[in-house]
Amino acid sequence: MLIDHPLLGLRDAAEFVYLGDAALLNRPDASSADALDSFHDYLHLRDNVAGEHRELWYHEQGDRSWLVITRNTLTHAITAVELARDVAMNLREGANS
Amino acid sequence: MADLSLEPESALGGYTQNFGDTHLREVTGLDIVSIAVSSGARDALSTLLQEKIGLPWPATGTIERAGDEAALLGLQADQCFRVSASQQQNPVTELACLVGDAAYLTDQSDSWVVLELDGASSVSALERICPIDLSDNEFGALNVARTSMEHISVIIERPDTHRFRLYSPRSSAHSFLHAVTTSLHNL
Amino acid sequence: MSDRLALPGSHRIGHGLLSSEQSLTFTFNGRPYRAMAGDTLASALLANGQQLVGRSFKYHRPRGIFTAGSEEPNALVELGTGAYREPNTRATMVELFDGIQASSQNHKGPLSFDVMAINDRLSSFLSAGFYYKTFMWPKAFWEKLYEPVIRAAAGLGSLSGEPDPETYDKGFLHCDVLIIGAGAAGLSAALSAGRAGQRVIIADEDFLPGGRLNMETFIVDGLTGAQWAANAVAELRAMPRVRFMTRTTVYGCYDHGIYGALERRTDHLADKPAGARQVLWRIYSKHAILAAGATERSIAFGDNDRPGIMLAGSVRAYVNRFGVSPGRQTAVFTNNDDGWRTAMDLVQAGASVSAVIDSRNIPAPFPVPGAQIFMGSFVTGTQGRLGLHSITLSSGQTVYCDCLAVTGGWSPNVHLTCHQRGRPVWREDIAAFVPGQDLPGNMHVAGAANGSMTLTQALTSGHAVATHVLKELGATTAPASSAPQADEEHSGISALWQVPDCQGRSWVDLQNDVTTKDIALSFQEGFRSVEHLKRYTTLGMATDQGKTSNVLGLGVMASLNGKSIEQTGTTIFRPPYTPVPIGAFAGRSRGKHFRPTRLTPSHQWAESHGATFVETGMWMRAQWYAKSGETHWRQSVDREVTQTRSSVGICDVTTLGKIDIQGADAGAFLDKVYANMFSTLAVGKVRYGLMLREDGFVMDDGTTARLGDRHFVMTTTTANAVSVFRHLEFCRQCLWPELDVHLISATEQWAQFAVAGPNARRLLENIVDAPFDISNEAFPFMACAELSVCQGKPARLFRISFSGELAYEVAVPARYGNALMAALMKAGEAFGAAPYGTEALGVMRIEKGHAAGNELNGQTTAANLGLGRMVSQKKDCIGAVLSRRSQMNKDNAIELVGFIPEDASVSLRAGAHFIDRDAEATLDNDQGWMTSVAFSPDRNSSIGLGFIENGSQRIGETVVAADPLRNEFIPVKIVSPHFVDPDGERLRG
Repeated sequence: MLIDHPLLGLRDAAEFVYLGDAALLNRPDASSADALDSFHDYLHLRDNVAGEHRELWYHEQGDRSWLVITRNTLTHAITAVELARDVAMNLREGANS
Repeated sequence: MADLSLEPESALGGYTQNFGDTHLREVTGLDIVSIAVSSGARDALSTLLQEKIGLPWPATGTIERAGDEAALLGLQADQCFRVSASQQQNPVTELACLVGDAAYLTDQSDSWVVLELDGASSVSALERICPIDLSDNEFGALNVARTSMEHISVIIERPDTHRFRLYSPRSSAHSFLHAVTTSLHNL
Repeated sequence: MSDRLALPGSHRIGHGLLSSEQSLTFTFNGRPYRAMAGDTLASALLANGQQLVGRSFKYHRPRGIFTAGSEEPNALVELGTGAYREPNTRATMVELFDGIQASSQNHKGPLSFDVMAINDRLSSFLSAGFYYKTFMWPKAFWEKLYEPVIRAAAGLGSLSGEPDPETYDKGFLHCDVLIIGAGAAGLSAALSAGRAGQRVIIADEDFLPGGRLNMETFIVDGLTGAQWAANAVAELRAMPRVRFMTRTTVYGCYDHGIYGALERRTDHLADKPAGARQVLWRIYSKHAILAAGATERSIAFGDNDRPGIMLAGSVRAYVNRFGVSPGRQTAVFTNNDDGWRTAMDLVQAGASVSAVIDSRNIPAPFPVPGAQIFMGSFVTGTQGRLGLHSITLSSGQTVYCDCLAVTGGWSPNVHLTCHQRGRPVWREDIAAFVPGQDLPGNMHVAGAANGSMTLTQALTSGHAVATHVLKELGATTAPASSAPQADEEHSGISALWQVPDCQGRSWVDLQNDVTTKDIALSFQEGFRSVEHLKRYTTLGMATDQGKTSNVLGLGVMASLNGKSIEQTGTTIFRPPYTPVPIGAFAGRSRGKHFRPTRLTPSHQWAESHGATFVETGMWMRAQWYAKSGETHWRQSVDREVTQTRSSVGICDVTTLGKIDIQGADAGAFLDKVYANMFSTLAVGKVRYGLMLREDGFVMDDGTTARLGDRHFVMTTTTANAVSVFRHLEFCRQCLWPELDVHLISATEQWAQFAVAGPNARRLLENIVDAPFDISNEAFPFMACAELSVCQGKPARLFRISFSGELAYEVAVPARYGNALMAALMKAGEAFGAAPYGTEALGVMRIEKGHAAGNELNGQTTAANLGLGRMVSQKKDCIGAVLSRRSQMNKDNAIELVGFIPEDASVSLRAGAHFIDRDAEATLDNDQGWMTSVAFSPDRNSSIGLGFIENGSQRIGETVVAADPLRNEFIPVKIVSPHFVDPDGERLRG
């Protein structure tokens, strides 16, 4: 596979390490009353998507950036690649606004 | 007490070898300092670098270069390497005076072993180990990339069209040298 | 005709495209033969009248050359001798060079009298599924009798049994357009793309590019096809942005335009140059044009497997390209117009054609001088012993011939279009499967591979597809406006799979010996899906992957179940298209070059001082340093431990991961990734840090030093250096992107040495430059400093202890590492300083009760390790919430404690499980396990660390360390995990 890195262009997927569902960006609030449940769900509950899936990849043999990649699990077609840092920042701003 | 002074040793003992029309050598005597931008200081840092060392912040994947032994390699969005001829003093201290709080500096001079490949067979040899497209249009002079070659994390830079520099981690320098010489032998 | 006598081989009727100037010699089964430059082994054997070249896989039937290409099912030979021997080489793909040695395979005794041919008489027992039916009982016979006999009889060819002495390599190529196949369509496409200035790779498996153009007598742009191809190749080779790769098979299509290709570089050379024999390329393409042509298929009729029975297009290839007529009297059996071309070409080349048998009830499309014509007729049987003597027609008439050219039509080579589960579709008009709409991304198909079966169509479609690709690429240079020109040809066909009412067996898959009877049997036994049919009969499962037989098999299957071929469907094609040697997949990654080796900075010193090395991950670390007189590793290790504990020892600990952490929020960041607090750590101090995973289990541990207000250096375990860095980057970029913190690995930058033992400080006082004060008061336990050593060399000093002794770790830039090791030893001479390796390191950490990889196995919690109190309740951190789960804090949890055997002479074993005395060794009685053991010179006994339920409450109790596999049940006493200096007086001293 090839991944179209937002800063570096097309790179072989062999340079990357796969983590999983991009839902891992939404780490729950540890101080909330239901933290135990929300962390359990955050860590263990995943949708097993047949189709478009947003997932985390790490460019370990490259610029060390974490990426959020939208990949079709049926065809491997990649339709979006974002820097996870940007996505995480937007999530924060969304949560704060 | 006996003399306990320490003599520096290069990882490959100053390796140098001709392979037909192509020359491979270990480059020694380089200071390498990682420069990471402190939050929000990107523009300030770029201005400072331009003022103090005459080079702007490099875009990721490119090199800003002045002369043969002074360059900034753009490796990450918020991190670059300064590569310069060794001044025999702590390269971090010297640079810290120039950039102040705008950057976090880490000495990497001993982390990397630098090989230089110069000559007509360079690209053909690198084809055997380097997944990056090294054609002139895609990776011409003043390009830099970090990738994996033979399971080793390698920074490849092209100072000018006929030369490549390959930075491999010091501990696996012998394995990487073997990877490059094997590529030259296998042509 | 006079020069014909000068040509080598009794069946040579002309030059074809070969150069008659260079004559070659080769041997087959030890007998010498002559050939011409440009011959394949197959053409050379046929030129010498050698039709019998092997025995079939199952029935050991005599077999001959069937095709002229990579689809060959029969003519598998062994090449070379000794370690260079290579079995299962297709004679049709072997480019002949002077002195090549080939031999037939798969027979016992001479090729002409194979004793295993008895299998042919037993064929009624060896039908489809015979394995499952015949050898089921008695059960005990399987291992003792059936399997050894079958193993000895089965398989094709034999391996040398020696390591492959050849060199293989891999590589990466990039292009705008990859063109697969350099036949009419491929060359036409390449010319269009190349002339437009695109970066093109064109690959062909043959050594002579041109495909069918070299095997036919067509005219293109006023030139012979072969000449036109040669001109096109020359033009393409001259283009700087075109890479022309012959002898290169594109064998697989992968995601996002990545293709696998095998280039054979030296197989055809008598004198092998230095360098790689074969290179496995990974080709990155923006677009790919598949122009792989088509493969001819046979017709099933009685005894259709004799040597001398060949595909009609292949007979034409031997006549036109190699100047060889495989037979003296050739008959043609066809269901299409193309077969007639074989008859015409033979006659035109001066060879004799005895008959043309066409299954179609139409007027003969061509007159063939000298041949009998049978329209609406079939071949129903053949005769001959080791070759072909005559054939029987459906009319009962006998026709004498020593070669039968058969064609059942052509099947487009759709294989690569299916590598991403594309499904081909049936086209009735050409009786063939063509690529469907579900092609791999940016793949385009041209020529016969796409069902454009005539030369004109191939040339036109190559041009058209290239034009389309150029548009997609946004090329600015306009391509040539028209395609190369050729005359249109006849191409009618009427599908025929199986001749009815034949005598003898009708073969479908020649390589795996599958007959129409096997297919019928499989159908009768209920196998309806083609995938089941394939596996039950093994149709198409041999090394040729059924290139000449799959569609034929489907046709036979379809006629059995009364469905159309379309409804019957196809099996799935997977890479590789043709076999790829395992050696090529391995490439250069052999022996010690399987993976990189990492050397510590003091490697050279260790090597010259008698170190034995151990691989830990990729690192080579000194395991122990044997002194003269020491004959057992334990002697060396015990001495290293004793010397360290009594005076001072030195160990290279560079391999521990070091991560430079800087930023205004570095402290806050560490608070989030460590279970304990770091923002409160004073500059110049070190703290032990415990890192959890988000699920609350322990991930890693290490010490982190604060070198400045905004500057920390973290250490990780050697094994987790990479994964911890990755995790920290995840935390930094994905979880807390607002923090001002930066990470960079400094593992390679600093050579770091542990200096441990009561004399450690005295030793270091010789090393550390004035005025740095390392007295206990100025530099107490858990202090750190940046200072200089050995007359001005930059260094870092940490007062930390893994051994439990008074200890330091001193770091210098890696370039000084080897020298510092020597200097430390020199400075320690007066104290009898000993270098120690990983074994002594391990012994001392076990004696001290420090957890390491065996204890941090991903299933243990801070509480299990006795470190529960380190998980701060004041802050959130990775793993904090889930470490509070009730399951992680249950009452009878396992705890890390020490163990000593009741009998001090007994050795403990890691992995043993703890059970009560007198309890049975069952899972129900399992209370925990031994994680690490060592011989402690201090205790003069074997000691162990391990987890046991409520361990800390059971000190003094005796349990049994059970290892039922080895029948060891050792009574052990539970003790404190701190075997030496439990109060930590030494390391603070």
